[in-house]
Amino acid sequence: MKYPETVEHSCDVLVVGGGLAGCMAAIRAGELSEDVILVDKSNPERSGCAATGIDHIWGYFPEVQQAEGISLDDMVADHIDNIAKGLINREMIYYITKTSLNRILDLERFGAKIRYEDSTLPGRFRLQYQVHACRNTLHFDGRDVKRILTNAVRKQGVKIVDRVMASDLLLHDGQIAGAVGYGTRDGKLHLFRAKAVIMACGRPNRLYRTPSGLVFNHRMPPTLTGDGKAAMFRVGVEMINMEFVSIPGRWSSKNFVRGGGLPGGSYQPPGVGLNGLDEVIRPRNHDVIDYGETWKGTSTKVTSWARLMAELRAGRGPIYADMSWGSEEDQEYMRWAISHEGTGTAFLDVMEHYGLDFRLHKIELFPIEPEHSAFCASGPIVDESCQTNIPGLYAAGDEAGGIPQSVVPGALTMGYLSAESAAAFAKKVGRIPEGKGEEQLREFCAEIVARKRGDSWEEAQLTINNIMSDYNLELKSETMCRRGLECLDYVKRTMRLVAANPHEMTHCVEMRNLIECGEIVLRSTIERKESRYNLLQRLDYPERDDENFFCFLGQRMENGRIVFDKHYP
Amino acid sequence: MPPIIDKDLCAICGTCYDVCPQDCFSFEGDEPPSVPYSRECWHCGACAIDCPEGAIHLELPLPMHIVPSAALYGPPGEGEEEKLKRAAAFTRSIIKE
Ligand SMILES: Cc1cc2nc3c(=O)[nH]c(=O)nc-3n(C[C@H](O)[C@H](O)[C@H](O)COP(=O)(O)OP(=O)(O)OC[C@H]3O[C@@H](n4cnc5c(N)ncnc54)[C@H](O)[C@@H]3O)c2cc1C
Ligand code: SF4
Ligand code: SF4
Repeated sequence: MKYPETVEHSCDVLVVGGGLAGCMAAIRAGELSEDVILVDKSNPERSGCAATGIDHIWGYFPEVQQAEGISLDDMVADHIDNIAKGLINREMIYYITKTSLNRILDLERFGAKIRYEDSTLPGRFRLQYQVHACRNTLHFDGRDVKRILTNAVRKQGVKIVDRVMASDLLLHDGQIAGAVGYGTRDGKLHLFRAKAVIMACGRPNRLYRTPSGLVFNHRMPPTLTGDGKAAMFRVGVEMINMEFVSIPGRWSSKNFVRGGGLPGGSYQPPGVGLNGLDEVIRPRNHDVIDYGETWKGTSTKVTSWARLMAELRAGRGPIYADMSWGSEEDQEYMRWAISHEGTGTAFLDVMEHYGLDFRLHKIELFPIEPEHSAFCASGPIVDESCQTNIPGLYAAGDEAGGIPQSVVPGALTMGYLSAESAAAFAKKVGRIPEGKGEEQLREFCAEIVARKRGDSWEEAQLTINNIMSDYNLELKSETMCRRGLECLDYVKRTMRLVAANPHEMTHCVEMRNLIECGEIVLRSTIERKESRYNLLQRLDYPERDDENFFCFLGQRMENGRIVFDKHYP
Repeated sequence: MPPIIDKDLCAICGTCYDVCPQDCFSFEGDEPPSVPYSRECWHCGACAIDCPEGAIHLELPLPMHIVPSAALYGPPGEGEEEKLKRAAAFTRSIIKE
């Protein structure tokens, strides 16, 4: 057997994944520990959800909120009751709400522009209504936030190892001892020995078929394939909420699925939603009051995804965002807004290239791929220090489970907190432990290298998408999920992956992790015998069952067996 | 098809290859990058944003085209000043009483 060459690294704190959470963790860990390594599958300068930008961050802005009569406790309660419907890690959402503004001010310190002369609010913040029932969401130019953060990581003296995809964790006597990854360009195995590890690899994407049929035409970054969650699960970390899937994830421009707020969201004053009969089904933000509604953020009542779907089902589709109204200044502001979030800059460039203009053209909207959205909050259960059930192993941001809609504030604050916890843990560990756990990945890669003929990763990807979409979306039931598990198991045993180079091998390793995540999802779906809002709809248990399932359903592996536990928040 | 490099503008700096989250590019350092994995493009726009020479633009595969559809409204009409003011207050925090 020809094994890939191994490169060894060692450090006090290892941060896996350089998104917003990982970068913030690396910076804080760098302040508190000697040796910190940040490893990323791509390049933190343009990686993860915020690769080409974020444009809003919610938080508690004391001066503004107090003028509205909203206390910190009120905002936390709003989040718990109205957004999370009670199912949330309460300590963590309190911490996130309380410290979000501090991390926003960190971003300013690192070089981001967050204040604007035209704002008449205290601090000259442009604040908007978004998901909470008050004006608490900073609107800013975050297109280059990842570049700004990566610079700060470097300045802090943290070593960045990019183009390495972590895939397994090392343990020593039940305690974390590092991670092992595959070099996506050099084709080597990278062994990271560490006293404490922070996982921040984001959500598991690419599990389901996309509406366009193109695997990478995704709202969420398709680079993210649940590698962190799969790695953690394999060493016994307890996962929660994996059975929750948003179907569809949300709505976006049709065909060119746009990462970020859909055209006509909260930031576009001229935007209105139309159905196929040219009827207004989503009034302009400021007009909502004329419709007799109290303003409660963008995604309430008048504009809920369910409402848009109902229009389609009633035969009144398609749905459009018409943003042709507004002054030149409004149009300018809208383009400014769009260009800062996700694929917005690309969207505007492409519109220009193809001769499209918001003044002249409305944009058709369509449901996007099913996703483990921010509302699902799937991942390891963590305590108030971001620690998982394995000592020394932490999770932050989208990687961590149990905090719905924590999004950017969650990534920034939990990144910071997990670093403080990990640095303190590392201080107590004398020498870097000699952990084990690299064999599986080494064998997996060696087998593929040795193979001359077989299945391409594309075929495996398609098969996984088909299984997950056929057995775990509209037709969800115990028997269908069991069949889904049978099929995934068959694929696992039968596929003979081949790879011509490290790029293809990376995709092969992704298939291993996607299958792992798919299995966790299907098993948890079977175990949660109820339906819960749009996050989980089962045909065999159509009712919500708060008596038995108002809980986080934990799933973990113990001595090769699957164990379930309920946790009541 | 997505990222198209104008070889006449390209300064062979390798930035696009460095930043692409999907690793679509291939780059040896002596000529403009090629795009062997253009089918894996996320259309995030990072390469086009960061290219110092403005040498990259994105084109869409046919299934991703935005099919044009005429807008209903157009620029605001007479007497809509009040509405415009409210729109600005809502979305840009320009809340002058
Ligand atoms: C396009 C888009 C726009 C958004 N805009 C906003 C917004 O404006 N405001 C807001 O509040 N929320 C927004 N969200 C949500 C928000 O951006 C995310 O919740 C947040 O950025 C998550 O940060 P994270 O660091 O936890 O994960 P991510 O940003 O997803 O980062 C994960 C990182 O891990 C790396 N990685 C993955 N696998 C591995 C591996 N195996 N080994 C090593 N590294 C790995 C990735 O390369 C990436 O760098 C947006 C989401 C998207 C997709
Ligand atoms: S648009 Fe993004 S994913 Fe596509 S080639 Fe450019 S950097 Fe890579
Ligand atoms: S970033 Fe632009 S100039 Fe640099 S190699 Fe790429 S295309 Fe050429």
